[in-house]
Amino acid sequence: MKNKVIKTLAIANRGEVAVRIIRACQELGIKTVLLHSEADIKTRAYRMADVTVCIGPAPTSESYLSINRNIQGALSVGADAIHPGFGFLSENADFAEACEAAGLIFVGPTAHSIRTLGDKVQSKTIAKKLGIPLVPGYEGDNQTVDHLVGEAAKIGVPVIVKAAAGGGGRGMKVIHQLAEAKDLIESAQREALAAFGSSKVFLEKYLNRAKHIEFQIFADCGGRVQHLFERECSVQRRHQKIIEEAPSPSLTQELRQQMGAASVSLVSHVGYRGAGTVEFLLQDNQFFFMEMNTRLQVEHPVTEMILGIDLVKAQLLTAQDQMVWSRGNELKPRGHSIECRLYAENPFMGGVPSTGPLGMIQWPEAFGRRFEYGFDEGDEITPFYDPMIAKLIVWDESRELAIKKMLKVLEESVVFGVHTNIPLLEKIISHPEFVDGSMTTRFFDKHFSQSLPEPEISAETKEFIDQALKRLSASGGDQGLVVSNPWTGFWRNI
Amino acid sequence: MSQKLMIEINGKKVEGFAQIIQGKLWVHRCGQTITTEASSKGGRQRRAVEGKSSKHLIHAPMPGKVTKIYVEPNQAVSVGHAIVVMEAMKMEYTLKCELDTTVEKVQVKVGDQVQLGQILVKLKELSE
Repeated sequence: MKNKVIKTLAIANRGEVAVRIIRACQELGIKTVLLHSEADIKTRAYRMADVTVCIGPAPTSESYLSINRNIQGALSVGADAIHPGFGFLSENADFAEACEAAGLIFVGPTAHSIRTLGDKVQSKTIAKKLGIPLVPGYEGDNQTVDHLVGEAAKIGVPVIVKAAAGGGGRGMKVIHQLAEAKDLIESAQREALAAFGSSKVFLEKYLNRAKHIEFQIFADCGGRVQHLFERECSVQRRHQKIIEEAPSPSLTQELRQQMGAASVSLVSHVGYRGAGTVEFLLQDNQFFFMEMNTRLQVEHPVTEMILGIDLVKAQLLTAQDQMVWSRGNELKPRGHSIECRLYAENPFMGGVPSTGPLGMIQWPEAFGRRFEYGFDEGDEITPFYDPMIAKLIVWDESRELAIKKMLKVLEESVVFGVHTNIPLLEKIISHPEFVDGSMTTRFFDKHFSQSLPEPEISAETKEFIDQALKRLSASGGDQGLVVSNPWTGFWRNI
Repeated sequence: MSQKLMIEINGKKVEGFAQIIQGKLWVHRCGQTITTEASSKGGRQRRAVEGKSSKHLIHAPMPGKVTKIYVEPNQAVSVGHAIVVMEAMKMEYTLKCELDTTVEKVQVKVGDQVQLGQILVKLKELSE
């Protein structure tokens, strides 16, 4: 087989993952091209890429989700490969196919693998055939709302509605009462259409005290599939992960072995290539296959931290038919890693998104702390895209130490200009159920469904604010400060 | 630009970061980030707006797009009734009613991009 070589790689993505890919390329001596929208000029990735190509306006359908514009953009500057990152077109088989047709290497699995394993319905059919346990549900083609409501009734509430082409929590709704089924299914279909270009949804029995456990898998260019251990992502809000960790505090060695073997058998079934993740729900020591993501995951760093590997580089090498890890040299996890997703939102107002120009940003760098971020001071958080603006990752010898380290990192990280969920992350990570590792996917709703109460501000800080204002504002002046957001009133409708 | 400030309060040195961005003061100290209005004028204006807002006005809690409107003028609505669905940052948010009343006016249509605080729907005000 002739070796493929990537000299110039185009990135069909934005934000911190684009930065992550650029860094890996720089180290491998690959030139980078950022395919970006008009709204993403003021970002780190834009400044770091060797070449930038504007592929369209801010709305994702006209830029990041346009297959044609991404491919034309990549070809226009002579790129020979495309990395799709995660989200957007990363799990779109048509995109993978169009890349190959245009003579571009798609850094990821083949279109065929995406179609079979990435499709939430087909992957279940395969899993079933392989004897991997499944959650009861409906995954048929009849997508009329009335039929879906009927199927939801058959399964019995609670039932979860999911986008067939989806991920990242979009197009997902939980039906607790049949009376609300119609509205929720319609809402899921709209979200699915807006986010993934397909309104197809499926239904599943909602497990109400399950843990989310996923296995990172990697298939090298020689076709060897191995699992790179698990991550636990039970801390979720609206089915969007907030905190992830590796290893899971809940797996026995036996379960780890069984779930790992199931993941490998599923992926081996289609002749996979590169990185992927097999997601499971775990309840009462029973595991159920949920879905497979045929791409890099947002939370891939925690796996990298416990194994000492670089998954993005591994993807780039595999795409060039190069071996990554020598055989017979088994990867062994060590220590514990936790990732917190930093969202631009106001935790004191029910998590309402926060947008605007960024001011000072400071990450408390030290050993075992890693910061993946897409914006610097002077950049702007716009309302067009995902609210995740950074990922904070720590590694330490034990889970207990990693939690302590993360608390310190959260305390010392500074983001001015937009509100962030840091105060919420601090509360979560010090919650007894998180600390003892017993949290389930219901953990967030159970304890954090309400806005956080406005924080107490010490007399000393009040005095500091007063003096800071005098020093910084040209007009100065003595005024009573209102330490609350004047828009609080508007949020209560939600 | 941002500043690391050292301030003496009652003979004790107090340290923190402070920056004014678009009329707001941002402060970080002792693991807390706090925002306040930086100008008295802006503060008064905003408080005035807040004073007017009440349960009969359905405001946009964030900038975003209106994706569904469940009500029309003169329709009776009750507490918990979904009024408008908005989308921002690819997530849907349902704005719900907090009164038992009727709809007076719908001021937006599906597809509209709306600003933070914009009034979307007016409900009939109830006399106490």
